[in-house]
Amino acid sequence: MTTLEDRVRHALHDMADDVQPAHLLSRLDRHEGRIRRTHTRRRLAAVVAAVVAAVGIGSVLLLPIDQPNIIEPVKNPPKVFRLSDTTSVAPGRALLAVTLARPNPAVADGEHEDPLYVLPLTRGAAVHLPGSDRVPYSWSSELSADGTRLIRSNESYVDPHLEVVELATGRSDDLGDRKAYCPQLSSDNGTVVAYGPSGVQVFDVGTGSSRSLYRVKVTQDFPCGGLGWSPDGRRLVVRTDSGSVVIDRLGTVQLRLPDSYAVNSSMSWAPDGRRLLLYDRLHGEYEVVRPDAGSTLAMRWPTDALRPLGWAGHRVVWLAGAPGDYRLVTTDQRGRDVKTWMRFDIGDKPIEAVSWSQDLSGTAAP
Amino acid sequence: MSALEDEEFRGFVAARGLALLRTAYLLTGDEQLAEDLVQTALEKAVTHWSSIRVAAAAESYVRRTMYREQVSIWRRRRVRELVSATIPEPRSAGAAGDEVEDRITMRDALLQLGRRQRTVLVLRYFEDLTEQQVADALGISVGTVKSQAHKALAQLRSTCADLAPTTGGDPR
Repeated sequence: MTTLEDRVRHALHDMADDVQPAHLLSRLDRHEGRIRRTHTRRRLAAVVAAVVAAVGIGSVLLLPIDQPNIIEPVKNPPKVFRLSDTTSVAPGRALLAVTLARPNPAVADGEHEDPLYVLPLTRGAAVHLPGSDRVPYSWSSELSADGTRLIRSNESYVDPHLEVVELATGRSDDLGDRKAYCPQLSSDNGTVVAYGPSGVQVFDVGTGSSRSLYRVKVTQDFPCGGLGWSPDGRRLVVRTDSGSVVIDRLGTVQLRLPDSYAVNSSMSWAPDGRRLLLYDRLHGEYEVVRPDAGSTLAMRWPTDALRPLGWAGHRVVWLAGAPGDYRLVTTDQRGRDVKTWMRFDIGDKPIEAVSWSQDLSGTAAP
Repeated sequence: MSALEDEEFRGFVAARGLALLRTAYLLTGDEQLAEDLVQTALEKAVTHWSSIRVAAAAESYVRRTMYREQVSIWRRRRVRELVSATIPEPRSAGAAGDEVEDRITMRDALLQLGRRQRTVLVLRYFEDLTEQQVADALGISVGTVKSQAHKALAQLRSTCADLAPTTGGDPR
């Protein structure tokens, strides 16, 4: 049952959403001259303080990061991602899942190519993972952190469905006929979060039960990528109309990140759980935010990079190139020190999404 | 203020102005008063910009200024503050089916609250502050926060007759 406090909270957010922007500098502009004179006296002190603070902040950023419960990236991944002729409903534990393209809506069901491929842990070429009866093709699909499962959903209005596929057996945990956008598995594979009609919903994979966690206005065009578990499964980053918020498993807001949106769902979280990869809508930049420290790093855009995808260890992974010449490249958290991780030998097919397992211990991506 | 600081300040206002305005609107219940409240806080912030920009505490500073300014307003107007002359009619429980209708009722009821009660609710349930944080932000005691929140919720219950008494949701 919704408590009065919840209704107050929702009403306040609704009221706030109705507020329109205003020119807040009008009064200040009238007194600009006075302000400038007042602050001339403070300039020298500010410069000194800025230098001191910059040195302090810089030294903090350079400190080695403590890594409790860190989820390590893939070990020695293949240099080239190739497609095989194999189709399997149970390809086994996987390193990567790649969605090549969304099906053409103009083509009748059953005639389009299923676009999802997974790269088995045993290497070789990528295996075609066909859809199921209830999810003939996936509108949202993502590999679990340990590479053993894949969650996928059919978000159609007519026949929505959500399921978790066990890649070793092909068995599916059926989460029912639910409209669930951007579903995300927790790191223990026991819980799924997804956007439902009224906001973020939490599903228990074992029982299929669900509950509402956080209210968000969701439309059919709600973009995926803004909902992701932290590596320890204790926090979620959630997209809202005005930016992202970090909430705990009870739905309590821990942090607001206005005007910034999480990139690529759970992969937005660095494996140490202390950094988030975000898109700053206001400035059109990608950035790395340390939520607990309050610091932000604007990222340099690597040459021919298309978009950042997430983290592999302490490196940020970007999709680069163009159809026919796609690559995964990695950079440091400032977008520098570009290194090629993997080439895609997939013809001229467009890549829609890439996710990768992160708990296969080993070295960081290059 | 240097050109760089001026640019930073304007960037801050551009980036955070709407969010500040939203909170101010909830505090004041009026768009013009909300703009005045934000601009007052920004005027104070700009005189300390050199220090608060370094500490990356600009938004915290502005918000705290808004809260304190709101408190000072309610203290100045304590005797003169007018409660709405129109007492909203309680809605019947049977009319509670439409969520939109419920929201409108709740919105009206929130705007009917006195400044101090609404301010406490805004900080507790919109800004998600704890009772201690609300008390610190407003410069009042935790006991006052609790009593104001309790009175505000009680008034909301009485105003919105379709709201059943709650058993959970104890304010942190």
